Amino acid sequence: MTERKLTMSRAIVEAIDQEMARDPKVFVMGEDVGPYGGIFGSTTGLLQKYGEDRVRDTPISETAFIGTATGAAAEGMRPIVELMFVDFFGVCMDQIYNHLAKNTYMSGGGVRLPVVLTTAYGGGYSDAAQHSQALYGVFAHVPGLKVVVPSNAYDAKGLMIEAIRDDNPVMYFFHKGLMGLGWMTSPATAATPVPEEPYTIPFGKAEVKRSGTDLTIVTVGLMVHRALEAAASLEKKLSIEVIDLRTLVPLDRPTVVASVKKTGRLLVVDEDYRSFGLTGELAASVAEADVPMRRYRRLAEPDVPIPYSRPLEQFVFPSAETIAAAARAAVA
Amino acid sequence: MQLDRDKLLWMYRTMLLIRRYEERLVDAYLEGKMPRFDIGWGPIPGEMHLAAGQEPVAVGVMAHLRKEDTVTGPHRPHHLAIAKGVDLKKMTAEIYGKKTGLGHGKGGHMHLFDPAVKFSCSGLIGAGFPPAVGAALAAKMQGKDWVAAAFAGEGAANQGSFHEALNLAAIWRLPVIFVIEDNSWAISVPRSKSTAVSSNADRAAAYGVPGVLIPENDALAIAEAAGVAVERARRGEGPSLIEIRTFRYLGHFQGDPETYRPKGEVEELKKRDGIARLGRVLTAQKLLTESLDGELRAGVERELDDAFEFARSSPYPEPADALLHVFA
Amino acid sequence: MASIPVTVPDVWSDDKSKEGVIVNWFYEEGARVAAGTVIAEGMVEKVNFEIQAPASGVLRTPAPVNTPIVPGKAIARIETEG
Repeated sequence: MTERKLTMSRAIVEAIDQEMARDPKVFVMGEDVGPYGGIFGSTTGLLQKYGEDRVRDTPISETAFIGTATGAAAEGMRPIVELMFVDFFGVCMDQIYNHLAKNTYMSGGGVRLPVVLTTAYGGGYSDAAQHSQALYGVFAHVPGLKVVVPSNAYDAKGLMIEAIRDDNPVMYFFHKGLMGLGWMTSPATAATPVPEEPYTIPFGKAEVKRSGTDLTIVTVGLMVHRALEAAASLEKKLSIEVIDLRTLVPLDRPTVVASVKKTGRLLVVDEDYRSFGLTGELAASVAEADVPMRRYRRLAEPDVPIPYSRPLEQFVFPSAETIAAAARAAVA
Repeated sequence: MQLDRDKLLWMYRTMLLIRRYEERLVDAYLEGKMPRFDIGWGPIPGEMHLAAGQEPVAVGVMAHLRKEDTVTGPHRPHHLAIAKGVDLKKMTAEIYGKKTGLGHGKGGHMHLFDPAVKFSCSGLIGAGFPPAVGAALAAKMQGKDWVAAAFAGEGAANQGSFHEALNLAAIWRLPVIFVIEDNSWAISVPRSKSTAVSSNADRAAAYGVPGVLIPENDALAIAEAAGVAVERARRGEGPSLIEIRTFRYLGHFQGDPETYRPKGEVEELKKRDGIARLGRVLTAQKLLTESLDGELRAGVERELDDAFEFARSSPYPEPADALLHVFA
Repeated sequence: MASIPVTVPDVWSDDKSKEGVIVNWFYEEGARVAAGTVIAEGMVEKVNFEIQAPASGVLRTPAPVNTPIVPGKAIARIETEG
């Protein structure tokens, strides 16, 4: 039969489903992951298939249930725990960054914590300052957490299976606007053909989604699609290479460096805040590699809380148009 | 504390205003989102959490609060804001994302700030408890008899901030009232699946604080309990917890398919509607007649017409205004 | 060869005239599908539902995403052999 396409949410569910079928230690917990199937469709149908013991709705107690995931993992389970919106990390960050992230290290490798912490990120639909952030920069900054940000259904399934099989804590970020939900528009390119059998995608392997010679654009998540739209709109004038990092930790610096060696120009696009994040990290990484770089530019969310009103939010979010303008300016 | 005629009619009229506001928002929110519901489309984009059914809680407590008393609210704030006296035009303009809104379009419906009446709300569950404790602390330190009230759902009572805030308010004997609006549902999770005790009012004892459960969505019963709590606070005797079994008529958010909710539940709740209930009591006491009721409802419609017209006709902010107000 | 219509299942609660929309296709024009496979997703009154292939064969003329739908509406065809 011809390959079928899946939305990113279905790809994630299929990955979790296949791993839960294979390994009885894998279980899911979080708010509204049971009958609701996850607010953004990350666990649809799993409760019906695996029951309440392995798909658990939790109270609104993130510190408790994320710490519970850490403790259960230390004792042989493989939890997938959902933080509904990454913006909520403030109520449970100690458990994440001081414990989940550090216990393996502090124990000299003695303790393994195979936890996948899934979380929804991203804006563009007027959910305002506390429900629209990206914030992967915060988690990538703290040693001990792997950070995964798929941009499409094919990558989402492979990276999720890899995450579940990894014996380390993995923060798995999915953009709400990529899930293919009926009630929130996704770019058509987010849904892709997805093989039915399980497969993995290794962490630390960026993918060149479009080849080019004039400019390298590096980004993750929803911005991959916006960058590809921008590159297509400029293809008569500019040859633009678009790299999808796929994982921030581990970070595939060699692929970025090799690309900038070729093009000499780097534009980093980021939905996360501008300062002290991904855009700065890539500039430093390329500079450290002593690769000649004629031009470095970044286009990110400015250092302001994300505003509610549509004209304000559209002003702060990178779009295909603003990426195209930044690309032209980077090459000018 | 006895409620006089004016206060009782204020309670009734305010509940009407809240209900009609939420009903108008159901329609306004759907503009531009049909036939395909897309959360980002239309003049009111983003999330929308409406409180139709929960009106008695708002008026029952606010009946005893003054302008100088602080209120913090949750992601479902409209009934509380209206009862607290938040500027309805500016609030509606904020929901429409206009320059004339309370936050000049920056905050939106979950982040309504009206310092003039000391009202604020947040989209993070349980986030309102600690700041209410802070407002109570400020009142005490400044020698005022002001009080603070924090409102949240029964789901929030499982968040760490609830327990920490109660303990701190208790040990420092602060004039703050914790109000739990138990509408049974934390999105799709019923209280029976999230909370280890049958009533959060019982949890107050764990902090040495009086706790009372109001098992009916009854504005007068709520007002009675709130009156006791507010007086206790003003006398400097410390915090209280009130839990009310109230009703959420609509989904958690507009667009919530509510497939998890038992069929017929909302219809059953509506039979015990809090507004109709108060209306019957006031009619029996001869405080409300059919013609007065008609007048009140007409007045409510006019007030809402003004607020929505103001919001619709107000301009949007300039896009670059997004960069303003990060710092004062 | 036969041409079997793919029709929208009746998952409506009451008002059958209320329009839903097609929100996702999982197969494209010309794809081979097996009977019973979930080939598309619809949404009515904010509830998502699945649409299955009524027979095995080749998918033809899928109606675009956002096409309004009601129970029984044909949104594509399956060309079967024989």
